[in-house]
Formats: sequence, C-alpha cells, structure tokens
Amino acid sequence: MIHDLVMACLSHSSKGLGIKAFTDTTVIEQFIHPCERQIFLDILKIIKVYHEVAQFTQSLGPQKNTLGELPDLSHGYYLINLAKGIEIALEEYYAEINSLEQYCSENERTSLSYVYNALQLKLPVLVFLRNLIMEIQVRKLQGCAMLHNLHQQSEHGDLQLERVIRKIMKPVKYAFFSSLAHWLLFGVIDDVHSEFFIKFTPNDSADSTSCSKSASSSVMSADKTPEDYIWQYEINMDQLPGFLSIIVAEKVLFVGQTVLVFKMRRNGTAKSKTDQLAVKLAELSRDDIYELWNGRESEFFKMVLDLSNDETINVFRIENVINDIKKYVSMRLSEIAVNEVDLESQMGLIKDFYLLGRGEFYLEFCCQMIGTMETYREERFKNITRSFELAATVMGISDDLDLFSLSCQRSTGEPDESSDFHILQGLSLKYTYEWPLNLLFSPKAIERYNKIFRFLLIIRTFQYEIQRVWAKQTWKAKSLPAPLDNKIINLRNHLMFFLNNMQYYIQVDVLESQFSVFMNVIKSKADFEEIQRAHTIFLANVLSQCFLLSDSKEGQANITGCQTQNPIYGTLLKLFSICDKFAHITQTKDPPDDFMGEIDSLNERFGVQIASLIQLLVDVKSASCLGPLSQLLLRLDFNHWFSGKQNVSASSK
Amino acid sequence: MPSEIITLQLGQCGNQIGFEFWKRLCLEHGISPSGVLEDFANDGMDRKDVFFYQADDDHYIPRAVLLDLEPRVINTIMGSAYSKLYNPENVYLSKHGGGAGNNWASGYSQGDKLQEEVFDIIDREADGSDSLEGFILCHSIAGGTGSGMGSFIMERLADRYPKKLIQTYSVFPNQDEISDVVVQPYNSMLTLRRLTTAADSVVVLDNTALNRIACDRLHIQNPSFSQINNLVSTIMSVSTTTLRYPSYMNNNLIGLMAPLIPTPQLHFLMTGYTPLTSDSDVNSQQTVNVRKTTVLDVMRRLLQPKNMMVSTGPDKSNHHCYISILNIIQGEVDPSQVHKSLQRIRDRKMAQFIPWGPTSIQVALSRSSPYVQSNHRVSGLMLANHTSICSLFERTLNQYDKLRKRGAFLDQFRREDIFKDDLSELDESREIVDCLVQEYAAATREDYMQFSVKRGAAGAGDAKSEDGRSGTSGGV
Repeated sequence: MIHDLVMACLSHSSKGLGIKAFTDTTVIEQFIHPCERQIFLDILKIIKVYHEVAQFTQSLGPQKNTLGELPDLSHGYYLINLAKGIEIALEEYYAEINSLEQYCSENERTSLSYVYNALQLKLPVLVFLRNLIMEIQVRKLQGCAMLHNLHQQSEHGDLQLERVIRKIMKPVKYAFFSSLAHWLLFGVIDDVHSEFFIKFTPNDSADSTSCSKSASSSVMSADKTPEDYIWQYEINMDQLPGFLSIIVAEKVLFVGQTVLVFKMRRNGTAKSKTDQLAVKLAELSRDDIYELWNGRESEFFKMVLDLSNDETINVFRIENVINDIKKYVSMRLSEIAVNEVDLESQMGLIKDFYLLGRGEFYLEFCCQMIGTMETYREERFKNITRSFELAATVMGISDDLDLFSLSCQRSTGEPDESSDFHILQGLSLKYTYEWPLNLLFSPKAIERYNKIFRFLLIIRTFQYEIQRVWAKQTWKAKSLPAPLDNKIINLRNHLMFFLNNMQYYIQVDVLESQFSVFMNVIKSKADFEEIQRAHTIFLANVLSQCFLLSDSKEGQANITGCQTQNPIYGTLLKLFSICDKFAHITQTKDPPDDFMGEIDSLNERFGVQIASLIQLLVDVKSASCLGPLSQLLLRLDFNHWFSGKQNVSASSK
Repeated sequence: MPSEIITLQLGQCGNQIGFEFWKRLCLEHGISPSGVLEDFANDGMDRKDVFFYQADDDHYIPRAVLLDLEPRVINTIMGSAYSKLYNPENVYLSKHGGGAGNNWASGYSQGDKLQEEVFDIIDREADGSDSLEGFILCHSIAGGTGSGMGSFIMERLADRYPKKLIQTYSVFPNQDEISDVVVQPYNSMLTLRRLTTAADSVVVLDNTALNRIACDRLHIQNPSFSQINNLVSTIMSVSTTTLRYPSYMNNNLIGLMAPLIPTPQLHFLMTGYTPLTSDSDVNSQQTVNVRKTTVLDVMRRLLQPKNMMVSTGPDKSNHHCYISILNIIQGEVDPSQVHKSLQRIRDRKMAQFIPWGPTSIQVALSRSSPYVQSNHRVSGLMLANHTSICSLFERTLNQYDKLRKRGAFLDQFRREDIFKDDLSELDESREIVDCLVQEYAAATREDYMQFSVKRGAAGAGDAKSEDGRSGTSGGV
C-alpha cells in the first residue's frame, strides 16, 4: 500500500514509472486506519499538486520527442524551455521519492507518517511550482514576459526555492539570450510566436487602412522600397521584459537594424519585393556582416551567451554587454558613414534640396513652373515634375539631383479652390540615400523632410510671385508717368516684407542654426546612434519652429485646409492665400472689375491676419519666455510697426 | 544660364572701377588673368555663369562691355595681364579718342551718334545670354563720358530692354577738394535725372566718403585712385556675392533689390563695409592676426555713419531714418548670433526706421570665395536705403543753383544738340532732382504713403496727388 503510494508519487516522472490516477478516495475508507486517514489525505494533496505540475510539463514536455513526433510548438519555445526547467527542478523530488522507495522496500515497517514527512519537505517547492504555473497559465504569459515573471520570482527569500527558480530559469534564459544574440549579431529573429521583445510587423495591412486616411502616407507606401522592411522591426512592448529598460531595448533594436542594413548592402537591388522573408534568410551571406563585425562577432556572441550562464539575470551586466556592442556597432557605422559615404556631403545635399539651400536652383524651378519675371502664365503648375527636371538641366546640376526625384500627388481635397499652394502641397521629394544611411532616413524622417520642403517651397514660390509683381510695377513706373496706386504698393511691400522675414527667420534662425548644431555632432565623431538621435532632434526642432508640428497623428494634419492644429500655421496659411490672391489679381490679363475693392479687402484681410499672427506670437512668447518664436516676432515687428498699429487701432476702439 | 548680368563700364572712372571689379571676380572664382580656370579652382559651388560665359575653348569671358571716348584707361587695361580676359569685340573706343572734355552734353550727343555701334555690342551680348536679368553700369556722374554717354545709354537701355533691371554703381564726386571740372554740378544734375528716371537701382559711391574712410579708417594720408578703387571693388563684389555664391535667397538681382526698394523712386542705396583693412593684397599678407570679430560687432559697426560709403553730413534735424537694410555677412557665422545681434540693435535703438511701414534688418549669410583669404573672421556689407541720402542731392542742388544763377560755363553746353534751343533740359533735371529730395524728405514722415509728388512736367497737376496730400491729415 505504501509502496503503491510512493509509486504514485512518481506517476509523471520522465521515466514513465509509477502508478497513475491514484486518487480514488474510496479506497481510503477501506484500507487506511482512521487515525492515519488525515495523513493519507494530506499525502494525496501533495501528490495532487505534483500532478498538476507534472501535467503541465508533460503537456509541453520533451518526451513526445521520443515518439518521433515534432514537438508541439504552439506554445512557444519559452514555455517548452520552462517545462524543461521545471523538469530539472523536479529531479530533486524524484531523487527523494526514489530514496523513499528504496527505504520502503528495505524496511518492513514504515509508516505513512514517515512518507508524509519526507514528502512534506518537498511541498513548498511543489506548491511554488504550481503557483508559478498557474500564474503563467492564468495570465497567458509567454516569451519574454514570462521570463520577466520568472525573474521577478527569482529573488526569493527561501534559499531552497531560490535554487529551484534558478534551475527553472536557466533554459528559459538560454532561449532568451540566444535569440538576443542572433538578433544582435545576425539580425535574425526566428520567432513565430512573437516571444521576443522585438517583432517584425509586415505593415501591408496597416498601410491599406492608413492609406485611406491620409494622402501623405499613401505617397510613402506607393514608392516603398524593399529596404523599408527594416523599419517594420519594432519593440514589442508586451514582450519587453521589465528588467530591460526601453532605452536598452532601443539600443538592441538599433544594433539589429544596423546588421540588417549591412546585410542588404550588396543584394539590395536583386531583391524581389514579394517574399522578403525568404530573401532575408538567403541573405545570410556572412561577408557583409563580417564587414561590420570585423571578425569580432564570435567574441560578442560569446559575451551574450555568457550572460545566460549567470545564476540570475544580471541586469547591469546585460546592459553593459549591450552597450559595448552598441558602441562598437555605431562607431563602426559612423566611421563608414562619415568616411565612405561622406555623411557631411550627403547632409549638404539634403540641405540643398529638401531645405532649399540651393536657392538659385529653386529660383529656376519657380521660373520654369510659373513663368519668368517678364511673363505671366495663366495656367501654371502644369507640369511640375517636368519643370523640376528642366530646372536641373538649366542649372547644370542634374548630377547632384540624381538622388532626388519629385513626385506630384493630386490632393483629394476640394479642387474647386484651385489655389496654387494646394498643388504645391501635393509635392513630395524622394531621396535615394546611399547605403548605410538607411538608418537615418527612415520613411518617417523623409516624410518630415517633405513637410518642411513643401512649406519652404510655398514661401519661396510666393516670394517669387511678389518679386515679380515688384519688377512689373517698377518697370511700369519707369515707362508711365502716372504713379501707381499707393494701396497696391503698400500691400505689396507688406506682403513682401512678411514673406522675406518669414524666410529669413526659417533659413537663418531655424534651419541654419539647427543644421549647424547637427553638423557639429557629426563632426565631433559621435557614434552613429548619437548622430541618429541628433538627426531626430534636428528634424523635430525644425518642424516645431516652422510651426508644422501638430499634436495629431503624423500625416493626418495634412495641409489640405482649415483643419490644422497649430493656430500659427493656420494663420500663416491664410496669409499665404492672401499673397496668392494678390499675385493673381495684379498680374492677370483680365483683372476683376472691382480691382481696387479687391485690393482693399485683401489689405484688410492682411491687416487682420498679421495682427492675429503677432498676437499669437506674443502670447506664445510670454507663455514660454524664451524660444524661437520670439525670433520671428523680432523680425516681423522690428520697427514696432505691426504692434504699434495694433495699439492704435485698439485705443481708437 | 539664367539670370545673367551684363556689366557696362563707361568712361575713365567706370572703366577703372570695372577693371578692379573684374580682377576681384577672377580672384574669387579662381580664374586666371587670361580667363583660364586655375587648377586649384575645383570647388564647384560657385556660379561663374552670372558674370562670365565660356568660350568654345573653355576660356571664361566676362559679360562686360567697355566703352570710352578716350583711350587712356582702356589702353592701360589692354596693356595689363588681363588684356586677354575681355572679349576684344566688347571694347569700344571712339575713333577720334578725344574724350568728352568733362562735358555731359558732349558725352550725351556722342552717345547719340555712336549708339548704333554701341548697341550692336550690347545687343549681341544680350542675345548671347539665355535669360538676361539686367545690366550693371559703372560710371561717375561728374565727368563727361560716364555721365553724359552713360545717361544716354541708360535711357536707351530702358527703352530697348524695358523688362530688364538697370543697376548702376555711380561714383559721386569728392566735395572736399576743389574739382578741376568746373561744370561738375551741371554734369551731376543731368546725370542724376537719368539715375532717377531710367535706373532701377543706384548704388551710390561717394568719393567724399571713400576718401574720408581711406584717411580715417585705413590711415592713408593721400589715398590714391587704386586704393579708393579697391574699396569700390570690394563693395561691388560683396554686393553681388549672393548671386555668385548662391544660398537660399537673394539669388537674383530682383531678389536682392526688391526688398530694399519699396517704391520706385526711392532706389538710391548706400553701402557700408566692415572691417576695412588697408590694401588687402599687399600689406596685410604678413599680419596674419585674424581678428575675433563677432556678428554683433559687424552689424553694429555697419550702422555707424563713419563706416558708410556716403557722406551725408550731420543730420541736424535727426529725423532721417532707414527705409530698409540688407546686411550680407560673410565668414564663420554662428547663425544663432544673428538673432541676438538683431535683438541688441533693436533694444538699444541703434537704428531709426521709417514710421510708415514694416521694416527690419535683413541678414543674408553668404558664403565667400574659398580662394581668397580673409584676415577677418566675419565681415559684412550693408546695403541700405536711407533717407539721408537726399543730403547728397541737396548739396548737388545747391552747387548747381550757385552756378546756374551766374549762368556760368553754359557755352560749352549750348554747342551740343540737346541744348541748342534752350536750357530747359537743365531746369527739368533740377525739377526732377528736387522732387526726389522731397520724396526722400517725405519718406521720413508717417504720411509718406499718402504722399505723391508731381513727377516731371508730365505728371504735374495729377488729381490723385492732390487728393493724397489733402488726406495726409488723417494720419495712419
């Protein structure tokens, strides 16, 4: 009887011994003395706990392997490894039972109490295991989240339990660190059950939904390059183990992406868009990675795997190792970026074209697009991309422009307005970056550049228009004795003043100064991640100081009309439309009948808008004492003209 | 290539400063005196095509037309190392070589006679450019050829090329020394009329101020022509630097001029330059102490009258003000300093601005030639439209009136066609210049936008101007 009982304790052991289903309590009534009944029940309880644990390991356990079947992977590797770990932890228990059995068979007289005592020693471990399993099952934990759970438990006060949990953790840890090592060194994630904290999301489906939402993102997806898939790797917050901070996780992501970028280097062109995964696997040609690691990959690999040999998860060591690797990778990358690709000159190109640094080219572009100073074409913006190419040819800089291409997107918004800058807002400039700069020019960054580009181009175009009006009026004044109406001159001067100062502000105060900050980072031989961060900061600062930043989602706040978030930007748009109108009615062949009336109303509208702009700037300035906005305010209101006028009108009311 | 500019050099002075200008451009673009690109000049970030074109054999040839009625200066140029630079077909010397005798009328009527030959050259040059933007005219207003022939050519240019800009670099005579040209006030007055009516923008180079600056700032006792011309060529080259080394704006002449000139009449510009060093080519090569000039220093100094290349005399009424300012800053500039400097200038009220419209100091950060070593970290040129420039015209008016009252030296004018019948040309010119002075005076007042002077005899009695004046009491 007691032997049976002991055997029952082994019922789920890996060796397949033991008696199963020793749970029938009816036998207790018959065979057990009432005074031992309680003990017996207690033993059964312990066995039941054990059963639960054993069932769990069995359901995942490796023994099915022996039957030649493939292990059922639906639970994920981490759980399987957990089961392994538990199995190992149970070894001690089995050993105990074995010795118990030994003892029973050698001694005639053993009591239930003896068995009970022996088993009860193991009870805390079993209960602990069961709780662990229950928690994991109830919370449906898997992958890194589960590892985190284990990690949390690992600081156990009970030495015995601590030892147990370490045993359990070991295989799981191993799984974690090996996938970490694979990602870090080879950029590979073999993670069907999304257990790792970095995941690959093919965003085809995401695209089709966002596409309908905003015009701009559909521009992005339309000309998607195969390289874009590195941006589909992202941190999976659900699986991010708590012992790794987001910063560390970002570093890990960065290293992996870098490796991917290195991998795509040579076969970037031969890649077919459709099955990226297959290509990716085929890409495991070591040569390119070798270039990155320079023979040190085994060293790093060992460093990562060494981590799993630690007793516990040593957060500091992990961070140190990741930092070391990241530092190495990004130094290497910035070496390549600065020396081989000449990042500085690439950024120069970006500045020249996205940020309109090449003023003479954009002048020619305007000229091609809307006619020369002497002429006035009624139909403009007919063929923008053609104008762009023509301008490049005329300026003889087609070579520099090889990397850029302009595309024009008809805005779906109300076309009846036929405002010029609606067309301009459909423009986007595509930049074909050189190879390791993929990490810098993510689709998101490019979209941001385009946003700035459109904004600058609008200002530039209207500046050109108003200058043309100036030229025409100057020539007219020379040939005709009758002086031009002061109101027109006045409005023209004000508009020109507004546009010029807007441009000076953006170019000198914003772009030039932010750009020099960014270039200093590059020059200071910073590692690549610092460059990347500086680049992000650069873009964010430029966007916010150009009032292009809106709280809403990226791309949603598109410039198609009045639903803009930033009030300053809204006012600027209204001012632009006044410029547009003015340029139109002063140059068109058949001016409206009520020409002066139009001018008057434009004048009035300009006054209102500029006053509200100044007011907004003053408000923002006083709200956040310092800031770039005061720079625009200073330029616009240098001789206190607008603010003075406001005071006059305020006092007269 | 777009936005080309043709330079016309007229007369002794015009050719001298033009010569210095081209020397300077060649230096900055790395073009040898014979027009060949130097080996070191491989930094392709400049635009040579605005001022030069390339011949079939890759020589760079200036878009310049050299005109004179007497051969001395042009012969010097053609005898120099730069003789091969110019297109010989663009050099025009009158056959008699007798000059204009410092007589405006003589220069004007000779211009009339020679116009066919001269405009053959100019038209050919204009045809050779894809989209000509305008002309730059270098001349002095006091002599005979530059002023008289220059006036004639300006009028014709305005007729023939009504949609091209005409910018002039006009040298005003030195008031501090007695001129050997007695009819200088007449010449100046007659030229000023054309500068007012036919030119789109006039950069005034006042010899009085240039001499003063050479004495006071450069410590040269008796500044020579070449030293003065050096100053002038610096101004000319820096003021065109945004065209030749393009950055984000002011890439064409219109872009440069339009913000400076709010109304067509107010197109006389002053310049200032700092820091000045004596004879940058010769002396300073040894003293390589690069001074730590800051943007604020430069911008502050540019606002000081003593650095202006126009001597306006003390502003007694203290009401003169800036209509517009463009600072072209070169060198190692920290862009964030610009804003601080602007703020400082405004806080300390270092400059006074017009009360009738918005205006500010526009600051263009410009690249500079990589081939010319500057011994200053930062340097700046100011192009300013300032109302006090009218004191220069007032001075000319006074001198003219003195001479005219006595009826002195008019005989040599009467000999020429334009004064054959009467001297109304002189009186009309005086009228127009007087209107210009009034216009500038009005620009200091708040009601300028309601102001509208009678322009010339034709515009007299314009009903609108009457309305405008009566409306001035309303204020802004």
